[in-house]
Amino acid sequence: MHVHEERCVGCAACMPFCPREAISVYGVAEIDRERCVGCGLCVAYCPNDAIEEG
Amino acid sequence: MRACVVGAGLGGLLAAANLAKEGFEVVVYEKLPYAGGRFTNMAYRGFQLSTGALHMIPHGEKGPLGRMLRSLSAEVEIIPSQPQAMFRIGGRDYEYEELPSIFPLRDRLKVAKIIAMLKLGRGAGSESYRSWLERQIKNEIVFKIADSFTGWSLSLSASEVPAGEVIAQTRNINKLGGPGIPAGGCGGVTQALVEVLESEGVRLLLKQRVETIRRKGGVFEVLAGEKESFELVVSNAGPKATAQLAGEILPAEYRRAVSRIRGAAGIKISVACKKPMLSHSGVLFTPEARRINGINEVTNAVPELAPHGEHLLMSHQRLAGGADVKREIELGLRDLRELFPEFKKYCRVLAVQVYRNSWPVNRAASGVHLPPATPVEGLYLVGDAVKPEGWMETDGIAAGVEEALRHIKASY
Ligand SMILES: Cc1cc2nc3c(=O)[nH]c(=O)nc-3n(C[C@H](O)[C@H](O)[C@H](O)COP(=O)(O)OP(=O)(O)OC[C@H]3O[C@@H](n4cnc5c(N)ncnc54)[C@H](O)[C@@H]3O)c2cc1C
Ligand code: SF4
Ligand code: SF4
Repeated sequence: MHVHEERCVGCAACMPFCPREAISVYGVAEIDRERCVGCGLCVAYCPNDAIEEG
Repeated sequence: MRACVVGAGLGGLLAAANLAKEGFEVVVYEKLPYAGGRFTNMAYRGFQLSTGALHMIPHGEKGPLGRMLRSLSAEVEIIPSQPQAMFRIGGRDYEYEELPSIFPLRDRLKVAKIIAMLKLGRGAGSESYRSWLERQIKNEIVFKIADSFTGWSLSLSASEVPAGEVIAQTRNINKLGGPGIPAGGCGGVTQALVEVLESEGVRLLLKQRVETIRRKGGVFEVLAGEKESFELVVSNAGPKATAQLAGEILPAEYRRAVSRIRGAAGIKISVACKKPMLSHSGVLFTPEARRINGINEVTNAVPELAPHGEHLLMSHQRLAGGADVKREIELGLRDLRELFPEFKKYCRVLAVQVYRNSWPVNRAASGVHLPPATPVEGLYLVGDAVKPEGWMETDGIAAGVEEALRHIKASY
């Protein structure tokens, strides 16, 4: 999972929906690659199309 | 008659419910997996955080939103904040009416006069609220109080809002009262509206992004996965996104004007507390803080928004254009620790949420009045860029939807 820093506003709408608590947001979202299982939920929940697979 | 609503934010949900009641066959497309946009809940560690709003309705059950929810039979209890607001100055909390008393005698009368002028709704041209105040008084605390009010409710500084707008808003506060907290928070309102849509037979399609809006043979052709035709399109996607979706069917001049609309940005910090930090359910304005404009503790009115025995505190601060976001967050957190000496012991930060650019606090800064009707007949805008003068936040959205409906009823 990859966060587009220019599109991410830091709204944390993705954070609560991650089943692995892999996302932390402090101005911009960061994904902990060790925890992420690539389920893609965060992609759907981001209002700003800021997360992409890969 | 078929109506399409683009987006299931508060504006879209209100428009869809009203149109269904008027007899339209309504389809709502929402790109996200949930309805409510920036006005719904997200469960996190047992707390009901919000996707945007601070779980408050500006004029409680008496304002345009409360009124519209009742007229739609959307069942939401809205609990009035008690008191409406307090102001923390010099380490003490004062009610609005007490404010003149904190000033030295020579300024006390001037402050009382300002309060009276705000109440009577007189005396402003097109100047900013800040310069209007400067003509009445020279006192830093007054300016800071003004900034905390406009920062909390509009995410603007007092110099960024027209005085006329603040005066009209104050008139409405005096007439209708201050905020209320819906049972269930923002999500309680969204849920009630979704139920109204269900009972009215509205098709609410989640994870369905509208790609384009075109005009063909006197009807609108909306592409969202498949193409569908509608006589009416109401867009809740915001003016900029709508201009992109509609493209050429809107005059270039309108699209240019829309691209220049300035929004308002802010930062919300949600905090879990083991014991209450406030003794009331109103807003605590913090004029002397570095960045934070105000704070609420909604669990004092609606305890279900936190796990049993815990409390949900939220702070809000305006985010100035071009500011260093991480530093602004740091200063906000520093404010919280200083405002509440027991913060370290009893509180932990649940979420820091920044709202700007495509997901702002407000798609059009307060004072900008974009009409719901676009130059294309049958294409309307609703949402937080379409707020009539004097109405803020979600009450402004409801008042804008009312205006759109008046238009639509007159033309269909
Ligand atoms: C930090 C913060 C605090 C706030 N506090 C308060 C408060 O306490 N009280 C209050 O009254 N207001 C408050 N507000 C303001 C309030 O939250 C917003 O004004 C309101 O939620 C905006 O609603 P909307 O319908 O205009 O837009 P949105 O909620 O943004 O809804 C638009 C919807 O359209 C969808 N959409 C966009 N494009 C498409 C497309 N192409 N196809 C399909 N769907 C699409 C989006 O996904 C979204 O769901 C606050 C806002 C913020 C950010
Ligand atoms: S939801 Fe999207 S924009 Fe918001 S913090 Fe997550 S990645 Fe960033
Ligand atoms: S892909 Fe799934 S596990 Fe990975 S960050 Fe997104 S939601 Fe969490």
